[in-house]
Amino acid sequence: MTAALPEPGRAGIGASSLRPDGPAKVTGTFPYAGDLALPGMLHARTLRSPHPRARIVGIDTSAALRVPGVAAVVTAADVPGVATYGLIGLDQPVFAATEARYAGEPVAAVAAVDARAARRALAAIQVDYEPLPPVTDPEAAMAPGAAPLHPDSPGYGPGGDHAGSGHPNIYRQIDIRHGDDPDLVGDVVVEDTYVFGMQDQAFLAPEAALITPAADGGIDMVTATQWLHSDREQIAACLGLPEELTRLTLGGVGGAFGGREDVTLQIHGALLALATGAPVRIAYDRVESFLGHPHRHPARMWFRHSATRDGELVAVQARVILDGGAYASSSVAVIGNAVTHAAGPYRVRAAHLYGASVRTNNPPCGAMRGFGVPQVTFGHEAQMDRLADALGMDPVELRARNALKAGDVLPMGVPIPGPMPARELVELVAARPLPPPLDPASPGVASGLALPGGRPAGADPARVRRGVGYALGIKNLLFSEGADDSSAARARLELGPDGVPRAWLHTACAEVGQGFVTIAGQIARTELAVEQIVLAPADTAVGSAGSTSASRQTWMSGGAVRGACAAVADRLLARVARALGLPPSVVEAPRRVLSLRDGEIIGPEVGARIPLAEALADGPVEAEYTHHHRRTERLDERGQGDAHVAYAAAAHRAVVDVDLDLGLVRVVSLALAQDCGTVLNPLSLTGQVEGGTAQGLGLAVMEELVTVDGVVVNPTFHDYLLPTIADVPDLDFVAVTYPQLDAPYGVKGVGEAPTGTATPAIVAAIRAAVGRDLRRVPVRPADLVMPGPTASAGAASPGGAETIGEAETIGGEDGHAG
Amino acid sequence: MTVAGTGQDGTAGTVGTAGTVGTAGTGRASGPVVRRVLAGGAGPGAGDDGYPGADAGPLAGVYRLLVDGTLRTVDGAWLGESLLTVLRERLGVTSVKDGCEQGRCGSCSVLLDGKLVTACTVLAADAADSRVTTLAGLPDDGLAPAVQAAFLRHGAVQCGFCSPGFVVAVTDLLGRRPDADEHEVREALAGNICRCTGYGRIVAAVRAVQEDLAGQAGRPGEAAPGEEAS
Amino acid sequence: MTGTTAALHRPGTVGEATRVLAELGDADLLAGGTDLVPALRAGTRRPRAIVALRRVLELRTRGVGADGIVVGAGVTYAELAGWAPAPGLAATARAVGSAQIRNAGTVGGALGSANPRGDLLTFLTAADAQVLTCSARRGPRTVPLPDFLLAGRRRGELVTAVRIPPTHGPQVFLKIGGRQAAYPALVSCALVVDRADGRVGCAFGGVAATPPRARAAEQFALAEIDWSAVPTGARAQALARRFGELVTEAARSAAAQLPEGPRDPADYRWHAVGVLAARALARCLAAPAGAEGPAAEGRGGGTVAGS
Repeated sequence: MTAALPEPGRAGIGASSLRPDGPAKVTGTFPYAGDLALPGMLHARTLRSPHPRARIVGIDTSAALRVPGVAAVVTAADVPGVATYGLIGLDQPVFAATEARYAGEPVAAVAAVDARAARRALAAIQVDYEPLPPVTDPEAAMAPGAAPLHPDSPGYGPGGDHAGSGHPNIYRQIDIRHGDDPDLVGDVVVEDTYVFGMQDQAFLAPEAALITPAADGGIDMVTATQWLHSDREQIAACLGLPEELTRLTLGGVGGAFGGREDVTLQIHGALLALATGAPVRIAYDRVESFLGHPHRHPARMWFRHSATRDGELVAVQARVILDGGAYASSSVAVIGNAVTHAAGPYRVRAAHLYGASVRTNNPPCGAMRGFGVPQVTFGHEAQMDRLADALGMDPVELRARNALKAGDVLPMGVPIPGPMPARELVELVAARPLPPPLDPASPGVASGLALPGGRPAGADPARVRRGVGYALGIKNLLFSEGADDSSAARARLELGPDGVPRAWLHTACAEVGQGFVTIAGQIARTELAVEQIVLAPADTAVGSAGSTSASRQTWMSGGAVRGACAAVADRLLARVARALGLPPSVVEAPRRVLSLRDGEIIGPEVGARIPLAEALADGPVEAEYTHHHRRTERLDERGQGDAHVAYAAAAHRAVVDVDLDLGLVRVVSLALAQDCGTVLNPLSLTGQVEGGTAQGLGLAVMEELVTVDGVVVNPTFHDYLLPTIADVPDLDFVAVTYPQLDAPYGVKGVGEAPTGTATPAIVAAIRAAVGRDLRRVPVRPADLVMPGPTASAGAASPGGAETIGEAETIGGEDGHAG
Repeated sequence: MTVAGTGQDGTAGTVGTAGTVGTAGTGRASGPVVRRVLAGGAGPGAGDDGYPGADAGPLAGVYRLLVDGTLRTVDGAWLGESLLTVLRERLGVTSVKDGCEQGRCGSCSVLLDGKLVTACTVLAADAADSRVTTLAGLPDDGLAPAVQAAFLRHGAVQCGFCSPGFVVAVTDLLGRRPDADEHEVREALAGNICRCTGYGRIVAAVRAVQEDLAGQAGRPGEAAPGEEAS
Repeated sequence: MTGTTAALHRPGTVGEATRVLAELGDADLLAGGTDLVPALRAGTRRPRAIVALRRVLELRTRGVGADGIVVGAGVTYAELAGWAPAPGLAATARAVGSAQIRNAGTVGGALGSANPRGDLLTFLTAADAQVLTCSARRGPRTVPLPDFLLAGRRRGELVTAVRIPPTHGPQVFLKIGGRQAAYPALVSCALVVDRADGRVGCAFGGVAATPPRARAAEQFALAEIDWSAVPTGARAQALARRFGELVTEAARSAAAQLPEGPRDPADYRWHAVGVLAARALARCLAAPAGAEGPAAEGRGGGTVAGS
């Protein structure tokens, strides 16, 4: 069957080269981590706390060990190394020992001859819990004097403190004060409180790993992750193993979106493999996946925006509270992103932006596509629409007028690096043709499929109203605040078994679906003038590639591949220069005379024209290269500093139809203009922005992981609804391609920016259709048709409940609201 | 390291080996309680279906499944095992993906007697004497290769986890309704979730196959045969 | 195998099935599997034995007779989705789940699961359906659907079919949920009109433990609508609006309310079933006389399969 399939791409950068792993994926032979098996392997399963907060009085595993087929049971008492792990601070126990702090927290794990016996053993483990009242409201957790929820937790700041938060339940707080008077307020004021629900990454392949104990006392692990080296560091520490004996190889990854940045089942499986001496497959099902990895932070946000009467933004004040849940994960970095992006892609004279990420007994939250930015983008874009309304201005015009351009000073007191075509984007997207109005005679309307709710809802076209909404946003690229998240690559130019020159590449970059494997090959072809590429499996035998997150891999690991290939080319050209007897000055800088082109080394000045195969006859040429981005700095106590490497901007326009009687929403069309830098693969780029847009759509109208008293109540695909192919319209996408000058080839990361703007654009369109202030996502049908306030009264305002009560007031011409 | 997919003859051997597992204390002062696994004590197989808890639950006996035209014997599976579990864990058919176990994501889409179903909602033992067609069993001179090629050319594959199920579903749909309009296509494929692509390239791939089919329809004998059109 | 006997029974006839059920006394019935198989996986059902009905061809028949439509318990949604003699059933079946679910799920399975949000139950309740069962000891039995849903299947009893009394008039099924397709119903509403005697059956799902009938709304329709001279325009709109209000009132006062969810506060559910009911009645009023199906239904998306 594969004979009929198109060959993977053979093109260099700039072309829509096809995925090298595509044929295997589309024929079902691509090995995902959960597909792997070894003879004699054991199957492992995890026991989780049903309580959001409970003291663990005792654990009795003896009955579990008597279940036929059970090989081992491990608990906190069996962790030989460091008892805790975490992405940034080590505050999460491998297994809950004395207290479970969220519902779903691992308490024990079992390995048995089959998964069924393992599950039976879980049920036989006796855990004596003494339930404690959970703290599920971040405001209560961060109140002065609130009791610490994790007294043993280390801090997360550079000095091991709580990043200066001064409160045991605040992971980190940031207070950005910008301008001569950070509390300045302009003529026309709008303020409100916004609520943002918990979204799950819902990658389609649940977590899995296969761990083999090795003869040298170490382990070999194949797992689906976003960051092999970070996993290794945490796993090795908890196992008490040296890192060199903790060997990780990337298994096939079925999506990630931030949800695989944290360690989940890896340490549990490794403990069982070491305990039993047998290979162990540990895997989650969908329910466990929902409980097992951190989610996108829910948020409560208060904003006050003010402008001059003619529409110049004067000041932004914000208070952003992220519920980090029971353990830190990346909460300290996520709140950094949220607060530094709270003013959005706009020039402001003054800003006072406060934010905190807070420990509660809710499920832990961490990385998800956008990393703190979608939350504030929802808030600031809602505010911009209200400001436009208060000013009587067109919302596109208001955004365009205030849009940041390269060099404008950010609230962190530093100029935004270019290119920054924010204004161009919002104007571009507004100029795209609108979809035609509903045609009652069209088949889609007659059948109902083109109406809100689809065929079964029976919407009356006369009771469907259309709305159009816009959103503009920026998202930082790469890691921030002083992190040197470098990436290493090894490249080799060699002759294949067929005598044809080929490039061999080795990185630890996690391919999670985004297409790095395609881009890496394109880069190597461009740099080394060969067609054939061999990609070594991503593993920890090469230097860290950093995380597949933060829109960073094309830039960082792409840069590493480019650097390694360039070094290989330099060495090969030097070898040829020496062989040609060229002077030492040329041997030292051979590119002055020689170059690689189409499988040959050519040097017109010296009459050289040597086939690559000939130049490689003396042996392969190999080089390693580590790519670093420019240095950034931590924010100071006033939130000032050069925190982010670079930014990408995106603007969405959404068109929705709303069933005015039922509150059902159909997203009719989406247009996106995005700041993409140089495009290395147009097809891959389109896939990234379409996928990011769809996740933003899901958040806008359906996706929410709901907790009641800290317990997730909908951890299945029956109850946590994802957008289907019937929910996501075609995307009208315009790429704006100014090169990012400090990035390899001028690239920008592209995956995250559109996730942040799709949500507010859709909500703005719904607002336009129904004329209600929607202060909460996801928007629920009841929010559109039932009387009463639509946002729960979160106490996010610095002024407390009093200000919240007046939050709907829009300041008139005579001054301040509230 | 070498890692193989579950072997076709896998499970009995797997259990036999696992029976020798387990010696406690690899030099560490304290370790978890580990004991020898009694060979055969838990019953055979790697299946993950049914009866967690103290109840061992009944076995399903020996039965045979006709998978992609080959008769396969399933011996010693538990009664509650789904077709998905048996295909993946006992017969080594890992192209059928396990995404939700509830019939809500479509990753395990197969044809059962020519009808598109989710393997996770089919009781394996009750599929005996039915024809099970997975991705690999779709006719390779039919529509499936065209759908696969279009998925690749149009960028419909990212992480690829949904791709096998999507290819089965699209092949089934276009075999029955080659000229389905866009709304019908979208409604018919709504049982298959993709989290990566936002569906744009999948819709493009389906359109491309439909255009090819329309182009061929004019020529006699060229119409692509549908799989199990009912 | 070590002393365990096979616990799956796959009878080929109704007689065989009922005998097996009588012998076992306690077994789960397996139809399409869309509910039972995930429940087995999750451990929420742990039968000692399963009687699978896939091979009982008698259960897969359907037909139209003088006493109405009879649909075998083994008929799938996909088979119903294009079945012209039963437009209301067909519309309901088209609205169920995904293509995969419609290909597997059966009428009998819907009755066995008795999901309070089950699409088919809402329609069958509105249509005054009766459940036909059979057991080895007591023979066949006919039970009104509401009674069946309250009491459940008796021990040793097999659901063989449902029977819908004949009606001549439009039938509409509407539902809403969380997205555009392949969603479980949040609430649903079904209307079955008999032009001959003016009776309107109206049931709604997703509000109470079983789908209630909206009796006051039905009485209102009976009293106010002359189906031989169907009102139009503003009068039709007013009737539909009032009808919807009465259904909302019925929903509000229904016993055994389902717990509220974050996405579906109770007052929204009550409101929504009223909206659906008003729409359904408006469609019935607009349906041309003589048409048995709702006027605005599009073509079917499902497959008609031979049985």
